[in-house]
Amino acid sequence: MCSECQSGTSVIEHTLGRPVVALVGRPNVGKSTLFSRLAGVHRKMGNWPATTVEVGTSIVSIQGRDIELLDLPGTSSLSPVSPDEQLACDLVVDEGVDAVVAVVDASNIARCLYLVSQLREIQAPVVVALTMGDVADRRGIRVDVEALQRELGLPVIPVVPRSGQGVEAVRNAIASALDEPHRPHRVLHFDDLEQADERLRWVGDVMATVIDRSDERSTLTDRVDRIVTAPLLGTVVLLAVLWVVFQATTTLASPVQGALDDLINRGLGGLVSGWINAIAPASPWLRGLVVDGVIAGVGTLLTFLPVMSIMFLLLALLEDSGYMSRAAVVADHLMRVAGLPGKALLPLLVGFGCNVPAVSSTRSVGDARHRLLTGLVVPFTACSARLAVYVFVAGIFFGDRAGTVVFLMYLVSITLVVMGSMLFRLAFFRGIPREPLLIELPPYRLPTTKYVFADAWLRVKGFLQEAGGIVVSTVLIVWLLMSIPLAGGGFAQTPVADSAYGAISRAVAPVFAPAGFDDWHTAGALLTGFVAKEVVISSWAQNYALVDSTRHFNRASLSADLKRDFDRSSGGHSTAAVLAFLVFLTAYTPCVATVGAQRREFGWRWAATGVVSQLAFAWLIAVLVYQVLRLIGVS
Amino acid sequence: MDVIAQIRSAMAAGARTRREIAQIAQLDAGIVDVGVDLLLRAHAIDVHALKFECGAGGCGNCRQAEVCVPAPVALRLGPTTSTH
Repeated sequence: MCSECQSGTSVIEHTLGRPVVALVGRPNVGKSTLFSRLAGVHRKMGNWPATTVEVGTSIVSIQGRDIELLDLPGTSSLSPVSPDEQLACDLVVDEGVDAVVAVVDASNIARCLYLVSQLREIQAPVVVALTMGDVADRRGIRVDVEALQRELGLPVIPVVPRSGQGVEAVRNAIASALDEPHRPHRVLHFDDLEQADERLRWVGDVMATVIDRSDERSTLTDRVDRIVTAPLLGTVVLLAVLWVVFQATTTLASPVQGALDDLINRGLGGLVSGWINAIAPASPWLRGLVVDGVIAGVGTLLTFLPVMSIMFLLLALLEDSGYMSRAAVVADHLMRVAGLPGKALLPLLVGFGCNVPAVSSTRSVGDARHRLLTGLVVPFTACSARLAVYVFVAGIFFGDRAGTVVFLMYLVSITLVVMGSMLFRLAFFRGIPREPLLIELPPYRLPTTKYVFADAWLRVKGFLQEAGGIVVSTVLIVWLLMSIPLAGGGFAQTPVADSAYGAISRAVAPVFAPAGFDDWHTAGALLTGFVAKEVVISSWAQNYALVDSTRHFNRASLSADLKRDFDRSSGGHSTAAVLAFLVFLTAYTPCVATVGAQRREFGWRWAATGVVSQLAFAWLIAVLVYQVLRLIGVS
Repeated sequence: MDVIAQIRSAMAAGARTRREIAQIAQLDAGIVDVGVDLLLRAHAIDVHALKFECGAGGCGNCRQAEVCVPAPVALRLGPTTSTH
């Protein structure tokens, strides 16, 4: 025990020269408002010495006696987990303030009583200020103040800090607490869960005696959550929200996308083409590389910037509103059907952004078999790279219904996760148990402009970095392959169909005949799509731009070429073939980076198993979709 | 049964939100909050802040890439810090 305690003063009183009273309590219980009422105009805010923690201080005269009043950072327990809580704990327990005003929220009393139980254990002189009585009244929660006082063995004063009601009574109670002979606080440590359990039981007993909930009304958040997290109704709401997001994305982005296409392919492409013709008229390969390669390929992908920006803004809005965590609860219902572990939700949701970190984040799934199962189905989640291809293809073939088709592809993706998980469980992981998962539901709130734009920008930046890095590199490699002649002719002077690229694409194309898209342009684009899914668009653009470099290339010409070739390969059933193509795109291996992540996490054997099963699965479903749609007469 | 044990049992029985824990364990919502808070403080539940998208900087910058934990996970979505 320290000498100051033995002499009858606290450590902190010895330092400051007057008794010290601290206001403690959870965040948002009215603590600082009460402090302002007690301190009046003499309050000061600043960092506590030798810390970066802000503490409100004031010298207050109570019954002719000067005391140092402290507004400590919000804390719900005396076992600290942050610097703020550490300081509050140090001052109350170790420095042994002379009295404590515990601010207790009457509408959430259980959450505050745990701290009070700890204050009782250290034998600190405590005054309980009961705030938020009006909120408790509105919710139909009745607190028996006398019973509470009796159960706690402490003075309990109902107070309305905003109006000042009860503040004088708090001052008097503080004076009485200070009149008690000072005794050193018991310095206890509160990390033991068994002792915590005893305190919780005590809180439960007190609650049972002092709280009457017979007239309690549920909050609006509770009522909304009952709908949006319900298995069936919540799923309907989630699907409706997703449909609105995709519909709004495609509708709003369309005009801007058209303007951007004109600017890049017509404006920039035409300008650069003119320069090259003027500077190096004898080098058509240079025009092929720069205009038909980089500008057509990367430029066409960049026309998706408005699409991605709007989509990311809407997702950020949903995230900041608090809805996304409710969507996660609904998603977990489906995961249980699929037999996936609860913790798999984390990598699967990340997968809808990008599959690579999603595979890495399977490490959060503790059990090795759960982890592997999750890692094998993550590639079925429709990453944002696939979104660009969905929007592109749906815009060309489905016009005003593009949003619905994109939405449908996300449903296909979710179905693939569920089906894939069921099949993998049957094949490799029978009888693995589920692990628990807790999803935090933050309060709903109006999204903040600053957060929404900052978050969306971060994601758009990622998209631009991808376009500027791996897509440019792939465009250059594809151009090189398109320039290597296999049937005579010079370098970069051969028709694409006769180049190395054309030969490989034509060799692969017949595999897709049963799915209705055995055109070599599309087969080639799917092959390069192994590098990254956005490359499917740039490869198509590059393909068609180089096939006929004499005509002007833009999005409209690319659309016409694709429509013609899908129509030809499917024998007039282009809608069926396009849907089969989109399903194949959703199910087949997302990119080499994802395969690399799978190899790193699970080894070559499982990475190869994943690639082979995804390809087989993708092909089978694409064929099934095409054949069924064709049979029922979808043209 | 102990409160903490009741909370753990409810989670093992499939409760995935604090509200569901309170329903399954027949506990006051406030008691569940305190109990979950204690489990979080004792690192008996690990918290992962979750985003639906990887940010710029790629995998090396990803907060999920290095996680490897044996405990149940509490997912926190969005930028909010307070829960109810």
